[in-house]
This record gives sequence, C-alpha cells and structure tokens, in this order.
Amino acid sequence: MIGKKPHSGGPSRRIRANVGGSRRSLGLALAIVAISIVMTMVSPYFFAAGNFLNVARAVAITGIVAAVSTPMLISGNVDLSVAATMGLSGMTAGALLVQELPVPVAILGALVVGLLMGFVNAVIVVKFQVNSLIATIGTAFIARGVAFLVNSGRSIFIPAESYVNLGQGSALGIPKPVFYTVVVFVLIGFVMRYTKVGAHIYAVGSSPEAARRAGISVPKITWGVFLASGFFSALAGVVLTSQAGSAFPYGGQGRELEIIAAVIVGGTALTGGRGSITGTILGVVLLGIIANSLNLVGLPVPYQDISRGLLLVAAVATDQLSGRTLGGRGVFRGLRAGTEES
Amino acid sequence: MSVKKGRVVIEGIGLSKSYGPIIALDNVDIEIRAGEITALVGDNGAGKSTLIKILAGAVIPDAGEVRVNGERVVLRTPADARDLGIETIFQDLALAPDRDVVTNLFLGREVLRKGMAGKFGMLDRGAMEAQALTQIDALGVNIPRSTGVSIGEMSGGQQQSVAVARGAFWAKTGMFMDEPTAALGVRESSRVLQLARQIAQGGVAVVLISHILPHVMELADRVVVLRHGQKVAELTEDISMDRLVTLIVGVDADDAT
Repeated sequence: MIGKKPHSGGPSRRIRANVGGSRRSLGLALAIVAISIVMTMVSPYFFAAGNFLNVARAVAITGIVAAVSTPMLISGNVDLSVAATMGLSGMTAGALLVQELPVPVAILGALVVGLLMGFVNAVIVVKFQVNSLIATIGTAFIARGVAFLVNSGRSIFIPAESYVNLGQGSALGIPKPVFYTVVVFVLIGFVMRYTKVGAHIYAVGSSPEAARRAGISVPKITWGVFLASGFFSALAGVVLTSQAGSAFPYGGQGRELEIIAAVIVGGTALTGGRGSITGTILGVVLLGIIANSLNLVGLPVPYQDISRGLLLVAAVATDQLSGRTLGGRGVFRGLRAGTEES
Repeated sequence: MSVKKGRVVIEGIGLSKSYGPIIALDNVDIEIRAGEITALVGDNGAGKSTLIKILAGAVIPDAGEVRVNGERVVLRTPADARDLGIETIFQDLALAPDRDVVTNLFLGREVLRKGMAGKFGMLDRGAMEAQALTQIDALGVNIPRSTGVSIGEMSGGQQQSVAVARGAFWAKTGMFMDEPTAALGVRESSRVLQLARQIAQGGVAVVLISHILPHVMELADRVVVLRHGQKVAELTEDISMDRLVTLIVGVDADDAT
C-alpha cells in the first residue's frame, strides 16, 4: 500500500497511503514502548505505579476532549473553541455552586453551556457556511470573554466538597478522572467503529459530495459532531474545575492546540475521512509520556512544548511524504488559498 | 435478440424543463426498456443530462410525467428514484476515497444488525462484506477483494468499477450512466462498458450518456438523439457514425462538407 505510485487520473482523484490506519498506531505504540524502556533505564521513578497514575491524571482531561475532537476532524471540521468551552462551562459550574445550588444542577448547567456552544458553532458552520476553523476561533474568543465576565475576571473557589471529590478522588486506587476519560473513549470509539453514525461521519469527511449523493445528511452529521464537541468539552471543564477546586476564567487556555496535536499525531487527518480513536489514545499517551519523561529528567516545561511541536511537525511531515494532499478538503474546505484545487 | 423485446420500465412523457429563458428540455417522450442499453446522444446543451437527472430524481421537470413500471411517480429527490431501484453512476465524486469497497457499496444504505444492537445503529459488517464480495465476484470486476483497502488507493478504472458495481447492486429497475468513461483510459473504459452490458443482460434498463460515438455504436441497442432540448431521432438499427453525427449536429453531412 505504502509507496505506491500516485495515480495520475482526473483532478478529483488522489491516492493517499493508509497512514491513518494501523501502521500509524503501530508506530506510536513502538514509540511509547521505546521511550518507556529508555526512561526505565534513565530514571528510577519512571517505571512505578505512582508515576503511571501521574501520567494518567495529567492526560485525563486532554483525553476527553481529544476523544471528541477525533470524530470532529474525521468529519472534516475542527473545533478550536473546545478550550474556551472548558473555561466557560467550568465558570458556570463554579457560579452555580457558589449560589449553593446542588452539585448535579451545577454539572447540568455546565453541560448545557457546552451544548449551547456546540449549537452556536453548528449554526455558524451549517447555516452560514462559515469554515469551521474560522467559526470556532470566533466563538472561542466570545466564550473566553464571557467566562471572564461571569465573575468579573476573578476565579471562583468551589465550596462543594462532593464536586471537588469528582476530580480529586480516587476509586480502586485510580484517580476518578481516568475513569471518565476511559468511558468517553470507549463510547466514542464504539460509535465510530461499529455504528452507522460513525460510518456516516467518516463518509462525510472523506467526500461530502459522495455522502450527499448517497443520501447521507451532511448538515445532520455536522450538527452532531459540534453538539458532541460542546458537550464533552464542558464535561472536561467540570473535571478540570473539580480537580483544581476552583474555576478559573482562563481555565483550559491553550489546551486546544495540545489536543489537536494529540489527535493529529494519532493519525487523524485534517483533510477528513481518516483517523481512529485508537490512534488518538496512543497520541494522547505518547504526548503525556514525553511530558512526564522530560519532567523526570529535570527539563523544564518549555522543553515539553518544543518536543510537542517537533512531534507534531514530524507526524504531519510523514503524511506529506507519503503523498497526502491537503488543499480543498476537510478543514481546508471553503478556505480561499492560492493553491485552491479545481 | 431477445433483449430487443424488453418491456418498457421507465417512461418519460412530455418532459420539459427551462432554466430562466433557456429551454433545456422541450416536450420529450422517452421509453427505456429492461435488458436494453439505451444510449442518449447529443451535443453539449442538447438536454441529455437534464433528461437523465429528471428520471433520476435530481431535477424536477416543469411539465410532463415519469412512469416506472407503468405507474406514474413523482421523483423529488434522488432517494425517491433509488427507492424505485433506479441508480445513477456519475463521472466522479460519488465515492468516499478514504473508505473501502464494502463501505462504499453500502454508503448511506448500511446493513444493521438484527435485534437490539441494530436499534442502537450497530452495523452488520459481516453481512455487508459477504454481500459485497458476492457482488464483486458476480460482476467479475478487477478490484482488490481484500477489505480495508481504501478506494483512493485504486486506479481510476477500479474506482469507476466500484461505482458501477454499487449501481448494479442496488439497481433493480434502471441504471443511468452519465459519461461513465470520461476520466478513464482505453482499457479501463472498455471494462466499464462491458460491465454495463452485463448489467443490462441481468434485466436492468441501462441508459448511457456518452460523447464517444464508437462506444455508443458498439454497445447500444437503441440510440436516442437529442438536439436543442428536443428528441430528433430514436434508432434501433442502421446506426452508423455518419448518421449519428448528422442527427446530432442537425445538418446533412453532405451539406457540411
């Protein structure tokens, strides 16, 4: 499959190697194993249950959003408002808890705010035909602004112990957030792999025109992925604030890029149509292990950013080398560029 | 030949369609017969695509009616036509390039599992794979039998073969092919046309739009010529290149030279 000469057919045809599939996952798994072996030799702290729990705790929140960002990217869209949604929904929960409303009501409020974000994004993308990249940069600014307005720019200390326990507590010796993340991954992985909805998300991302002609409703799928994205981002916001014991207006800031990096490293294409939850899990874990390793060897945080950047560029470069084209598809649909495809 | 006695399965009566001041189709009658290949020829703008789109539910006519198996039908969307067993093969953009043959064959018409699992939208991948492979074998198309190979990794001819195989799989009444070989090489074209013949032999009414007159003459049992939105001829024999060209351009070939 790999290395096959591209077919020089009509302009609509292009050959892309199956990078998004099992080959990428295998490569990531090997990278994780290799780093683990090296780190076990380098640091006595690495291969310890406690450290693995550290990694798991660190990637849990990112993982929830990375999970829902996978069908988003596969559908040919992107949601850059996920981090702002985390911040705004967290502030919502905090504000409701300060009013001494019950915890379930606060969580429900946060989730409703998330769905509202998804709703607004979907309206802009589906009804006004705005490219999702642009639409969600816009709504990200708006949501972040509103998050600051909630408590005049101040963070909110969360008084409800049962709420805080959702993020700080453990069950069976494992931090609770890890369970939420696993459930979200299993749920979304199941939908993508085994259901009709999943098949339609892939089809819409692969070729919206082919999907439309086959009777699949592209708007419905787009609505679905944006609502899901808002909902699970809000869930991540709840977990984030419960872990911190406070809600910050800037909660989650900057995480959107980290999340999308993990999804793309996992083999999901910005061009839509390809990718897998398995790949995203491996991408999230790989980035988590790299950050943890750099921590253990004493390299400061900026090096984590540098390593993340290098990994992302390397992963996408291998896509390009194997003949993928980006123009005119997926996230790039409807963006005017000098090299627009005919 | 027995196929010549095909019964009329799809009928257009007095079909007209205008786009603003432009008359795309002007009071055209057409009968399409089971087991036959009906070729639709004409110059650019003669109304071929409009006619086929009306019969496939993609365009709603201003006047006239469509009958399928003798009954008047109203086709508002391509899905309406598909429900009546009418499939359309396009030049391109009909397949999801990142998905495999099985997924594409069942695109939008996935088979769900029985019972509760099906209620939750769970796919019956096994059943789809089995049916897809049976279909590929029955048509003898040269496409990778292994599942998991995405369509985008196949040659243009193989891709079009998948599109035709899908059409054949679902077409119970008619299959419309709009310039199915436009993007293909010589060998790949002949393979696709052979498939069209096979499908017609299975009792489906095949309609072929093509600019390539040798293909038309080789394949068609019946040729319908359109010019400026009107039907100017329907031929079943003595289909020569000269005659077709004359009818298409609307002047006597001798006058033109």
